[in-house]
Amino acid sequence: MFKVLSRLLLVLLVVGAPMSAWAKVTFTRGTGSDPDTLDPHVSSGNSSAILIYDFFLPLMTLDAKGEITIGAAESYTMSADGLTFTFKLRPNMKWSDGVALAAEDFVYSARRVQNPETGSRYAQWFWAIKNAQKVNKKEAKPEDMGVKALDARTLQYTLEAPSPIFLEVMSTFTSAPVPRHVVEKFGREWTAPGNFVSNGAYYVTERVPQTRITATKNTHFYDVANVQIEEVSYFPTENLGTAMNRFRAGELDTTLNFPPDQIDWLRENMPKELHISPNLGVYYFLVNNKKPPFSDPRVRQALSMAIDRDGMVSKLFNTGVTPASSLVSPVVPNYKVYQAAYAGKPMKDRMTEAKKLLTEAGFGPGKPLKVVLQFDTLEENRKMAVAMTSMWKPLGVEVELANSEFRDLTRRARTGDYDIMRWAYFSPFADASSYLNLMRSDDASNYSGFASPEFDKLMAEANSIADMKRRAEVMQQAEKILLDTQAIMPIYHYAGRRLVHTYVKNWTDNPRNANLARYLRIEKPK
Amino acid sequence: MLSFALKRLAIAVPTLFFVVSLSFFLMHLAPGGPFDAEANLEPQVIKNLKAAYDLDKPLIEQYVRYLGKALQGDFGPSIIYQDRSVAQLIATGLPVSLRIGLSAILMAAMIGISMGIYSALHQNSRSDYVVMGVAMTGIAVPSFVLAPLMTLLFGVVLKLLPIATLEPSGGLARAVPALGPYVPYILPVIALAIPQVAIIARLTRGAMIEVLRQNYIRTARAKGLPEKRVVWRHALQAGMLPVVSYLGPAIAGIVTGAVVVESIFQLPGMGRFFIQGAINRDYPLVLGIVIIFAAAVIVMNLIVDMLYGLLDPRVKVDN
Repeated sequence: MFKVLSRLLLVLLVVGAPMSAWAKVTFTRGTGSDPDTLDPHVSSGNSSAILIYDFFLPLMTLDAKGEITIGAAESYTMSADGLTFTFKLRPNMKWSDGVALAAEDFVYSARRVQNPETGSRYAQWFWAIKNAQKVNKKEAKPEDMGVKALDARTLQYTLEAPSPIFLEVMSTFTSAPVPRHVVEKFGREWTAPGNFVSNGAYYVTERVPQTRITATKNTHFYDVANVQIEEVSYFPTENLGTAMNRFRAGELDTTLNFPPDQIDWLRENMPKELHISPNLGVYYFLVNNKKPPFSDPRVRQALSMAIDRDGMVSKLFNTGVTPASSLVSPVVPNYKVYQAAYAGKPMKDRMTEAKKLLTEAGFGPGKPLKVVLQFDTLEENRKMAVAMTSMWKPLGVEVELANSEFRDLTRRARTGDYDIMRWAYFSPFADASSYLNLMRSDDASNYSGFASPEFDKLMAEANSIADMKRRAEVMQQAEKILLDTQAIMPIYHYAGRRLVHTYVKNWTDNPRNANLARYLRIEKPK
Repeated sequence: MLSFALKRLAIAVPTLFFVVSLSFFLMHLAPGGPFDAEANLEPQVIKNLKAAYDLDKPLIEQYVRYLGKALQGDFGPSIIYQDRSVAQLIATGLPVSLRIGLSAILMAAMIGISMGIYSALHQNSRSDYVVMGVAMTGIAVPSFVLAPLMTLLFGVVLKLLPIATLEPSGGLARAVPALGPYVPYILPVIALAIPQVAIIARLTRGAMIEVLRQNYIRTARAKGLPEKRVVWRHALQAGMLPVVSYLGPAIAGIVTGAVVVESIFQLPGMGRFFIQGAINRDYPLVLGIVIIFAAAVIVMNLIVDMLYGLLDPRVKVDN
């Protein structure tokens, strides 16, 4: 008996002993859902963007603070008319398999994105490049596209019209180069471990779907000397409760999200690990501008004024989101958002004005306004919808709540089969035009039916102005038109929710929620 | 026995065909397609995406193409995992599901049957109530409550077992390195087994109580056979019939449908692929898993029927 107990004690001692120091510097990060693909041209980017940024280096990239900087390009020049960009590649660039990387690889990649057979989701981002849209529609040959290699290290892009966000577009994950010699050899399987070749700080060495992707430091990376982390493991963390437990147990160094109802516990117990920072997402109500009575600006204004965003954000969504009175996120640089007229007014005054507007629009006790509010199945959306019924009730509005799957919601948005629905937009670019272009009457994603020639004119003008200050002023005028009539009703601006262990150094919260592994350092206490 | 098995397998072919056809059309009837959730895409881009997966063709043509390819064992490319084929995904998911599913059912059968027999032999005693009370709790506590509690206790607080990684980590793996490869499966298997333990225990108890009252048991006891022999040789064989008929479909279900447990422990099993596929309208992936699931149910039912013949001499499978 004594022998058994002493052995048990020995086992417990070993269990309790601290783990021996890691020989390799490894970094484990939770990535949300399992990445759909590691092919930068095909990826939807939702959960794979962060991996692709770690694996590939486009001409422009993001720095440690998430801001645009030069990547594979050593320098670039823009012609005076803003129509030609010339990039000079860094010398002696190589793929992770040691094969030389030349300007031709970027030309091949740009054409591949526009090739309809590639099925690239974000081909449209590059339609500022001459003939790119035509190539994507099979109306022009890939060689006709405005991209060519002047020599092995010089690359020239010709645009259809000046594009103030072109450099940002060239920093997106879809603009990453892919290794032609590997893609053509393995086809769809080129991203499989063993075949995978990239030009960024890491390359994939292992991939188990729904479990783990492991990437190893690329010794051919131009800045390898400054990369400390040798191996990165990416874990899908769809189950937020599990993700948080894994973070607490030390299985993850950082995780993308956590259960919203744990925020108070985290604020109290892990304040140093908790990172909440505003990002580029906006949650808003899409209003059917074509359907009476919602085509009447007074009805939209009245409904929007009656929404107590401050109360909603503090009571329902205590997760770092901020009340919105603009479509464009306030963290977007080089732009001052236009605040809707209701912002800053006390709720009491707003309700009085809202009632007056509804009466003017012909609604009152004998003729109540009826609204069907569409939302998709998520606890957050359900709470919001229920809150709306009570906020609109004092106006005499009868609200019917309609819950459906997100796919059905999107279908309704596309076909205009709705009154008001919850909607959100996560801008891929930190630029105001990315939000405002959604409301242009000719934009395929303008699901509100909002059509204002004046707005369209201002946006067309803004999209071709190179002077950022002047451009911002024009866009602000456009946003004013949008918000004065409440063509959409902004509700709140999103915030990134991360958990990061304190031994992960150089982590900077930023609106793009981009923290590339190459800049991070792991400094675990010995 | 062999001709029975062959006959049953022959019937399986039209059954599978029916299941696949029904699933194919039901999937396409569900509102929204694979790319409908992608807001803010240009119509041309959506057109290109649909063409890449043959979704721009008429439904009947898609169906015929699918059947033709499926017959050759080609389940097509997955839509969500764009650089993987459905066959590759099943090849990664099935072994994981088999490993946790079979381990769980084995564990559940061993514990559940023992608990059931014990309770039946001590019917209406205090110990019977305790055992059945424990079993009822097992049924009543859903795995989405039990599993996170277990990860919190064994992973976060005690740091004994890994939470959601297939890496051998945690205190137990360090203390007993030989257990390393099995350690990541301990929590998922227990979480999956507990509700099954409860069901099996109740089934066994009920069946055993009924069998122990049969005349042939009374005869055996009257002849002076030792109680052990009465229970193990005579009662258990007949008492196992309802358990065996439950186990067949249960194994098929647990292997393919351990969605909650797979999701909480982030295991790359079939259940998670199935749910992800259904939510994202990944038609090829869902159909591929439906085929595997249907085949598993057919095979398990066949095995159960054959076991019936062995357990109960009155059942003649050949007839």
